[in-house]
Amino acid sequence: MFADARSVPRDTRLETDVCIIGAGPAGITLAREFIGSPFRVSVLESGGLEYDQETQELYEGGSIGLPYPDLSGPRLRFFGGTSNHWGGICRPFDEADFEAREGIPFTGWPISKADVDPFYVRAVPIVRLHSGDWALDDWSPDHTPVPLQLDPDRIETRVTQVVDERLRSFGRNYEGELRRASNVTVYLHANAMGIQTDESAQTATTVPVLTPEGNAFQVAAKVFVLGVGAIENVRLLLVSNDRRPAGLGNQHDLVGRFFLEHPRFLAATIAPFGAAPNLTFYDSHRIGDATIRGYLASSKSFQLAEGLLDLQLRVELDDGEPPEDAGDFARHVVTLGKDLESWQRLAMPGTPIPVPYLDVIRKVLDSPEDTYSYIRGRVNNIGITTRIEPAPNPDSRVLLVGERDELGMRRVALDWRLSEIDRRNVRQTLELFGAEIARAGIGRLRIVYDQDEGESGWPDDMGGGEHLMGTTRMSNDPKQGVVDRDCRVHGMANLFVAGSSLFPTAGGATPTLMLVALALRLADHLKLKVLT
Amino acid sequence: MRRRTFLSAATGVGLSWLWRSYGFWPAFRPPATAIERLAGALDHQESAAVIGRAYVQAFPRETSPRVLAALLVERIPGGLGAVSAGSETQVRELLRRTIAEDFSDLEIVVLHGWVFARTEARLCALTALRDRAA
Repeated sequence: MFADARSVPRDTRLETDVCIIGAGPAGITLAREFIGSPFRVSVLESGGLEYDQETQELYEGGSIGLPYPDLSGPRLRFFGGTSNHWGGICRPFDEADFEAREGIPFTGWPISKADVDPFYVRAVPIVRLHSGDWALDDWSPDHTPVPLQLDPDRIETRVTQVVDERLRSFGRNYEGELRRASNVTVYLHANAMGIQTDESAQTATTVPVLTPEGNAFQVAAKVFVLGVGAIENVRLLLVSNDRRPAGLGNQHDLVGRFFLEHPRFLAATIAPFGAAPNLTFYDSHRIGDATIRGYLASSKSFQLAEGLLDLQLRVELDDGEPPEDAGDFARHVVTLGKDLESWQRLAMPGTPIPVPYLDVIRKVLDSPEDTYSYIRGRVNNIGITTRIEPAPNPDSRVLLVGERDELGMRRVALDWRLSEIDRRNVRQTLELFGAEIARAGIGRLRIVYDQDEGESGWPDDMGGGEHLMGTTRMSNDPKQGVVDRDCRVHGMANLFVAGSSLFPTAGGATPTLMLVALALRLADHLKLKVLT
Repeated sequence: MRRRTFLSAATGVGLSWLWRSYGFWPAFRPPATAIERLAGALDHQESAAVIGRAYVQAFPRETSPRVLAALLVERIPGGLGAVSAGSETQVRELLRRTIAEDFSDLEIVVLHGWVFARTEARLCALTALRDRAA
């Protein structure tokens, strides 16, 4: 069912079993799991069914650390949440992503990949993917295009699947199903203003709700779940300070800390020697019913040996002229490459492999779309964009500020920080990549990262992947995390968190598939162990 | 100070300087013919010299053709004998393999942002220094 919070009689106290705050991918996934169950569920969504500027402005917040766009930019505050502008790229975390890394503090999850795997299987159709296969061999050997032939112990090609654009919005996908659900009610225009507790401050009792027009009521529940993202989850916990001055779950000053993003910027370019490599595998392309996009990354064995975290290298195809700042030196590098290429040809005739024009002709016959993509793969310059898994950093944080929004709730600011480990990761991984593409006879890498360092010590063009994570991190130790392995806020009996704010580390994969899997796991836990 | 003591101390200082400069004592002094073969291995001498000058600027301790040649020969399979006795094609193949091994071993240098194998960068430096001498 759907209800308009503006029509709920003022000062009503609604009673329910589960109160889910937020109707984004995590909240909707969780709510769907209760459809047909004996439990009553109320979902509180701040927005309506469509984008509304005034509601969106409730998300605004400043940046006091590394430059970051306005906090409302990466998020959307209406039914379906941020999935309404999601890029649709999916891949599960790898086993090593869950493990503690020697020499990198605060790494390691309290759960393993084996704990999450069954939920990944269930998450695949929910995010509207066609397959749960992620191994390179599942998508590559019998198909064209093919990935670059690099040493997988150094630089590996990983596969992502891309959800079709028309299927990415959880709001559009699941509105009908939730409308038909008799035990689930989605309240639109319902802004949760905090969490109230009993006198012990260990049991959440009610959530006060306010609409933009000033209508107010309360929702009482047995269990509460925060699912409003890595910034709003923090905000709600911190403003809930009636009985805990520092906010709920914040007895160790951890709520809002360890903010994670996947920083990205143009870090390098490749000048191909001889025939340009075919890079179509690294652009979105269809295989059967699925859309696939490959990317390059440092291997896990390299990361472990060097004490580094993950680093993805995204190939950006550019068929234009060499960059102006490349200058004469670049010309000499490419010229020198002709020597080395001729030596290589003498030693191993036929390498590097030139693009066979017969293949192009065959592609024209197959499909014009494939042809365009294939030809695009033959480029003069190739940009390499990083997506860094940052080291967990307690100083990277979301915090309350004095300014209030239109509803009177304190706004937040982001103090985004990176560390020396991240800088070392970029430098070492790029050097490895440069060596590997040279060894493979593909070309030469020019690292532009150091030259572009801005005032912050990071490139001026650095942005995030709009992957906001880590601010209510999961740990069995209350001194290391805000929630336990079951997503329950430490020190609270019935307050849980869903979404990417749970992630202790950012992994090398995109977060949506993981947060949906974790929401499924939480739903099982609530149904089987908490509510029964 | 007695002359012998002075010479001994000076030699010690010199050895120490070389050790600090190159990280090792070059095992031998390659003959001029070997230096010439290595410096002429690349066809595109002008480009090699440009890159070589950048290398010498980044690694100012490696400014002697003899030291560069010694460092190069040390990494080449077969060493001085292979460089001296091999045909031009054979020497180039040895260099190609050494460069590939450098990339495998991450024996690399970064010049103006570009990633080079140490061997190819030294080869370029040798070319640059020969040009300068000429």
